[in-house]
Amino acid sequence: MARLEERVKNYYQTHSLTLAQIQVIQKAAKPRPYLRLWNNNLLKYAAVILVSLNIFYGLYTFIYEPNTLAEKFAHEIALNYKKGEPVVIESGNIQTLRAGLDKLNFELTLPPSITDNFKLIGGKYCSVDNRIAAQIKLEDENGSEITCYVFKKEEAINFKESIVKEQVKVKLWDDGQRIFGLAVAKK
Amino acid sequence: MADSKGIENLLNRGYRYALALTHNKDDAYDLVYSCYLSLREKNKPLVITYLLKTIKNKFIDQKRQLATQSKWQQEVNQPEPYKSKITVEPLLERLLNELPTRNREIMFLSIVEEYTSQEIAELMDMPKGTILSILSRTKKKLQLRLQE
Repeated sequence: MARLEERVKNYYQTHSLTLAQIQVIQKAAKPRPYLRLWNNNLLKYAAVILVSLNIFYGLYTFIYEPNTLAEKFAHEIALNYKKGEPVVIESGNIQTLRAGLDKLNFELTLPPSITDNFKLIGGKYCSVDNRIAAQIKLEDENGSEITCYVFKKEEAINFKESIVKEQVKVKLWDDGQRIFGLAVAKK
Repeated sequence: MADSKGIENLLNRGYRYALALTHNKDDAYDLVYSCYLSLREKNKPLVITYLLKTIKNKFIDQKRQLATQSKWQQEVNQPEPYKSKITVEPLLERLLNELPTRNREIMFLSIVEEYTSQEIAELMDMPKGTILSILSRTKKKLQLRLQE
């Protein structure tokens, strides 16, 4: 029986892959350097970069961008305010103003925080950030003039801040559909 | 990772096992080629046990696929009988070719790879007693035929 086992063993051990066959197999199995990098690390780096970009974009969208937009709105409002142009429609009635400024792409309304504290003088068209806007002139109890700019809100972000531009204090806020900018000269 | 000599040895052992299964040099080469690549791609350890298991599984899959082919496809794909260029053992070669694949495999693992019957049983998922029985019968049969 030992003889049989020896013969069987020798039989199989005489069969080997040629050197060329071994080289072909090894070459096929060898990963290319960039593939090795891809498999080992690049995916991880790419994932980290993607996550970072998403975080950055999120921060930009929700923190930086609103600030830049608000700054932009405030700057335009301040420049417009400083022009001191007179109203075109003189009226203390918001419905009259609404009817007169019928080209606005939003319904002209004023929040209670305005109507409760200021008297309506009149209004005119203007523009903020290339959006058609209403420039409403108001007067406080002391007779001091204040101007409210109203234009359509097109952003998902909310506005609620006071910014000083060009020596003009601009208070910005929105009601979901409209953005309001209350401008008064900074003392 | 094993050095190049170690890899060469591993590949040859895998090749001989594949040859024991297929009794066809080309099929054996294809088996060891694809299975070695598979181990490398999956970052599996480059050890003989993994390679042999992979070769065995692939061989079984191929047999199943062959069984599902239509009759004419089987005729076309039927491998040519193995004809070794090494003629030192033509009778042994013929007798090994006549053995059922399972018997030949057990013989190979026991005699060439020097696996214990327990190890063979685990690799082939068969009872140890069955392995011992098949091995014993196969050796006796071959011995008788070689003495004729």
